[in-house]
Amino acid sequence: MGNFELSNQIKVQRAIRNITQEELATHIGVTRKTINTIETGKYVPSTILAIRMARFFGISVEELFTLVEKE
Amino acid sequence: METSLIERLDKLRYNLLKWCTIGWGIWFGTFILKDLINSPAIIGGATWIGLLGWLIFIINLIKFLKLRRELRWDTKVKEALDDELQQLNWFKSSEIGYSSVIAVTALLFGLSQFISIPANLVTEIILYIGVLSGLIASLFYNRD
Repeated sequence: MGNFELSNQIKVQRAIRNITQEELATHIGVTRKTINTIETGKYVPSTILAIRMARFFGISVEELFTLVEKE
Repeated sequence: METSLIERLDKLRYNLLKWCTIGWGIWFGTFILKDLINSPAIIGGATWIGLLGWLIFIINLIKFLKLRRELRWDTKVKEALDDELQQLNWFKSSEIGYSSVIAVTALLFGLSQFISIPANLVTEIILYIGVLSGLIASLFYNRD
């Protein structure tokens, strides 16, 4: 498990929809800090939160979050 | 863009916590200092500084509790403010506070084998370090 890290497309998806972290946080029902830490990879969200974010963007969880192998 | 209500309340909560930490640090710090040093001049100065710290601590603690009380019925905002990252941060801060209490207790216990330390001073130091480390950890984890 230690050889993998979670990568995400939140910043890209936000840019496509032209919304800020704060707006996304308000829609999802969390604080901006939470969105920021998930986006920068400092915090791994729960499955529930990951699904809620994917639903908001209208994509699958695996499109939003991908598991990448470390070099 | 206008700042959201959640964002404003989150900032407010962080500031209240920050001032509670400062207040606690000053108030209880001077309280311990008075027990350690028996100079009347220092005791006089420490009393006033301690009073200021106590005021800062109490005022911000009341504001903090009032904010929690006001949000009690607003489930949506309350849930957003106490989201999973916030809960994890509270848990990690409590863990640090608890670990500090154990560490300071062990340290003072070790010291007591060589020198005599008054029981009330030991209790005050454990309480001071335990609460302060928990509060500082909380500020650290919840920083922007």
